[in-house]
Amino acid sequence: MKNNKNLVLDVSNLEVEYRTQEGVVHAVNGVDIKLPRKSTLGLVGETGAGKTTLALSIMRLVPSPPGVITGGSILLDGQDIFSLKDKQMEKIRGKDVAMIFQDPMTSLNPILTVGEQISEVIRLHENVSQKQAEARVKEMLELVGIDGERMNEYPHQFSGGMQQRVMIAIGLVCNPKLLIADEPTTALDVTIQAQVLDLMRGLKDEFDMSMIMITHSLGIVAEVCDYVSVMYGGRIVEYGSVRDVFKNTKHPYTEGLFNSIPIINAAKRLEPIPGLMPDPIELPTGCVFWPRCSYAIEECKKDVPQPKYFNDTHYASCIRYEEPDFKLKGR
Amino acid sequence: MTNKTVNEIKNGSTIGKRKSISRRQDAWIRMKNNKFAVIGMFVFGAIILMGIIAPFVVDYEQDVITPQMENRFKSPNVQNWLGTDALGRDMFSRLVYGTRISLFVSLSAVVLSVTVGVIIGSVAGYFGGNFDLIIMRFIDIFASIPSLLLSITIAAALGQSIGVMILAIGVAGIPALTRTVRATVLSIRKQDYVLAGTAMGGNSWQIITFHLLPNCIAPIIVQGTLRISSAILQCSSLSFLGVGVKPPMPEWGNMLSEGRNFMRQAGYLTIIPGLTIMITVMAVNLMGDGLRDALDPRMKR
Repeated sequence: MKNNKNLVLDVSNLEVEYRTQEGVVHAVNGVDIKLPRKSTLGLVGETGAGKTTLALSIMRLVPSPPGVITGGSILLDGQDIFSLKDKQMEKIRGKDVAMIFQDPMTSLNPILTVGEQISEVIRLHENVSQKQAEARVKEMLELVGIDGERMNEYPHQFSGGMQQRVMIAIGLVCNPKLLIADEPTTALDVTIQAQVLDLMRGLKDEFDMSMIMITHSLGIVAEVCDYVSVMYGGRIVEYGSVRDVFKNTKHPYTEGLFNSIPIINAAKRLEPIPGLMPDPIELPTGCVFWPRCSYAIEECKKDVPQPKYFNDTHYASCIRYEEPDFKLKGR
Repeated sequence: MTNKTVNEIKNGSTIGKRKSISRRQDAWIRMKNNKFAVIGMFVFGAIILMGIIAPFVVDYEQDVITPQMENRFKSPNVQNWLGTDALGRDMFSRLVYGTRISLFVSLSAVVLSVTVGVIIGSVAGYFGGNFDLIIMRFIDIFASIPSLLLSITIAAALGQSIGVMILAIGVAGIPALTRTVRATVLSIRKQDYVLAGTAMGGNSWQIITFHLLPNCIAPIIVQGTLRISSAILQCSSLSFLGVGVKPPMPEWGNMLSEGRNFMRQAGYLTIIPGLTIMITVMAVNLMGDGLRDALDPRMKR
């Protein structure tokens, strides 16, 4: 982990805010992400936790105005992307880092055939002839499980799941080192979700790339990811391998997330986390989670908690672990 | 493992083999199925053809502009299919030659306004901000002047010639085209697929030409064909008012204007050019509607 050569993505202390008329929205507040090659990171959190903003920052696509990146750095494959010119950044997008969006129905241009949309990406990044591009398009479509002959069809002739496959084909066509998937299965129904996830996992291995999977669903994380970052109020509150976070949950918020999952066989009521996400214009002082936390004490309101490491990678940001015998109630 | 997955999925029921056709073929098929569009296309094609072959059919010097006083006001007959005018010139020859001028002027004018409108409208819509603000206020000023008045002013200021007419009519059409393109661009530039396009490495030029303009084709065609018909009318109006094509050169508008003085004795002198203008405008509108439906895949049933 310490060797930077092995990191495909190194985000440190990233801060992003949106300066709106109502006030400054603190969307991302000092986030660190270290993603080793060929591994998958799950980014979990509620709506508004700053997951998408974080992803857009990595692409340098935070809508501006009102979005401003106020601090921190992002090294993509060892390269500081904030120091790049716009032209250089355009070359990186799609080639080194690609992104798949939540809703495939709106992410595809309705009046261009899927073939045109895939080959356009190839033509943007590589100098290939029409014929070669077409062959690649067919190959990519077959790879994501769509008949290559359908390249001349329009997005509306495909089902939602098929459209998401097309998006995946677009994302992978230039063989990126990092694929960011922003809730790629949220708009799909469960059976299709499973197929798409399976496909993505398979393709990730085949293409030797790393992946960031943004999701609400801990189930998806368990299925696909190697590491998890749990985000809350623009901060990462717990990070670790999937096994550590799932089996040895440390942060009260993560515990709350687990308790919010319905379990079919359990004769237990759901325990939702009380309250709502804090208003990102006026984040609570200290730990962002204290107003909703059942373990909160006066100290929590004072300082932003520092990460407390439980092993090499696994940490949680909660000051209660300063007390030697503090334990979560468990599930 | 991947291959297994892919094969499993490929064997699934969602994937069907279907014959696929290209976009142009597709649009053509739909265009052909629209009766009115075909009629419009046919009529407009015939009129354009008439304009093209005019110099081979009629002799400009002899038939079109030389007065033949012994033949004045002949009603349509075998020798002069559409009769003769106040100076004894053959109306058919003049009409055929007039087509050439009317169509050339109005089509060139529309090409001018579409080109300028698309460039200004897409750039203003895509970049927005102060740039958009300044450009659009400028367009507003243009639009606030009645277009015929604007054309007359330009034509009167720069003198009578075909080039000036094209400019005068073309400029008058710029505001409408610019607004249409800008409005369409504004409505789609926040779409997810534009963001996705940027995320895949597209630059502004590529986003505008690849994602935005194809989406503007339908409105541009509708607005463009509407402009063709109003440009034909405007071209005729200018000639009618005497700031367009110089007589003796025939043009639908000035033929109409010349015939107006003799409406009682020889009604056909006004009816024939008037009817020609009407038929042309209608054919263009039918064609435009058909094209719009054919080019928009979402209209597919």
